[in-house]
Amino acid sequence: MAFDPKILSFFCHWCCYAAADSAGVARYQYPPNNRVIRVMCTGRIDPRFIIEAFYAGADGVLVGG
Amino acid sequence: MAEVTRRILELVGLNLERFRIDWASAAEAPLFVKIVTDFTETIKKLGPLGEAEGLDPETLKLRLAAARELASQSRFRAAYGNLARELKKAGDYSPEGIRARVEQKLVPIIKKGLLEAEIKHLLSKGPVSIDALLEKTGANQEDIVPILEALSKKGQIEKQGDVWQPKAKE
Repeated sequence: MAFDPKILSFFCHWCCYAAADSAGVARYQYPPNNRVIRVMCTGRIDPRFIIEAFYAGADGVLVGG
Repeated sequence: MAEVTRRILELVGLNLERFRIDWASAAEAPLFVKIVTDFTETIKKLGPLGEAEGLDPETLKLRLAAARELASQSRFRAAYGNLARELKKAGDYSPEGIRARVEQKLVPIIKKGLLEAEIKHLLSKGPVSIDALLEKTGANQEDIVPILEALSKKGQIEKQGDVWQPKAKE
């Protein structure tokens, strides 16, 4: 079986999250490996969050502002 | 934030490509799709966490647990906050400027904090000899001995013969 990575994403409510929404509306195809956490602003993100994500077993972390 | 995170992940021994920070505005759905697809491809190529870096699961877990502890240590938080204030005051937000300051102010604290947390984790499982500590943390004797001495001064650990162990509570 091919490796199916777990990716945790932090998306800004006003930018990437909205972009993800419009990508859905426009029916663009993209990989289903992302687990999204919405934050009100990318500035909220702390190194702690990212380390916690890796500790909990994420293979990659994407921050989208 | 990103630079500090990268330095920590580097010291943990992870591939820095596993962490990416990128921008796409609300109107840029195609760009967003491209970013997500690219990143997923990169991670797929890298393979599972730890395996690709040549870290065995036990070491990886120890290192990440230490990093997690480091990120909430007050010494690290204070230095991180001070650095942010300093950057604002200097008004220099170039990647090089940030990197230089992080390297100078934060990396020594990160290194020491990580090592200290690793030692505490290893000792919490029972007595450990200094050779085993050296082997498991992969650090130098000169780095480990001062930390052990500081911890024993605080009364958290003690030396018995060749091994160090957590001090029994009276």
